[in-house]
Amino acid sequence: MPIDAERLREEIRKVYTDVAHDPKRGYHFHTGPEYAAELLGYPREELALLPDSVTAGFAGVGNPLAMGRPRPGEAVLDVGAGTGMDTFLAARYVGPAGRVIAVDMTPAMLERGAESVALTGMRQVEYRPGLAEALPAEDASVDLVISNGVINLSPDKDAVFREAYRVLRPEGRLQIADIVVHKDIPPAGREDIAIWTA
Amino acid sequence: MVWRGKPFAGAAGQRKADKFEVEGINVRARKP
Repeated sequence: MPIDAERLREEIRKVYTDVAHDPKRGYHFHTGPEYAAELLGYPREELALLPDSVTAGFAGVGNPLAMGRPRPGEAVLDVGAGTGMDTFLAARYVGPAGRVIAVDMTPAMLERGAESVALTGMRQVEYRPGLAEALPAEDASVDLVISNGVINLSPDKDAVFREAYRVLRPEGRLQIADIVVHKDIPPAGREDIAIWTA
Repeated sequence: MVWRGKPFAGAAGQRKADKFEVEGINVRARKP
């Protein structure tokens, strides 16, 4: 039986609500700027410019911006932005003339994101509620779509990629970091929400 | 694919990640 998408999303929201409220508690995955710098190659000096509310809850699995930085004035969309470490790094690169749409489906992350926008004064960042499978952005409206450790959590990955394609302008870039498995997960495992979320 | 690595190394979920041979990757593409 295929996984119940809404039940999966609720379980994911629970985990990431905890991450938003208590990022240093300790999870099955690494969080925070030290992990980002040590294991994923994020530049420490740039992370140090961002507030703890943005960096402490980082839960990515790679480094999308290492593949190319957005240019000043460009529009970026971050799928599953979380506390926004990639979002706010992108915002520094695009500057006040650019914009970064931070999409997330977890209310606690949207609240934390709005607080961080106010704290940093980076008005080019806008948090929008939405799903990776139904992005809250117009067709051909962004130059760069990024995502970090999010698409693996979607039960409809084709929809996520169709949406990324839809919102990108011609010549736009998709830069994602995610996890892949090299050993097949048996059907019982695919139906087990715990396998998805932890 | 631009990078590959082990993002769960040292995390509590490493054992499960190793069981399924989980790997982190960075991937980029361009819309025509």
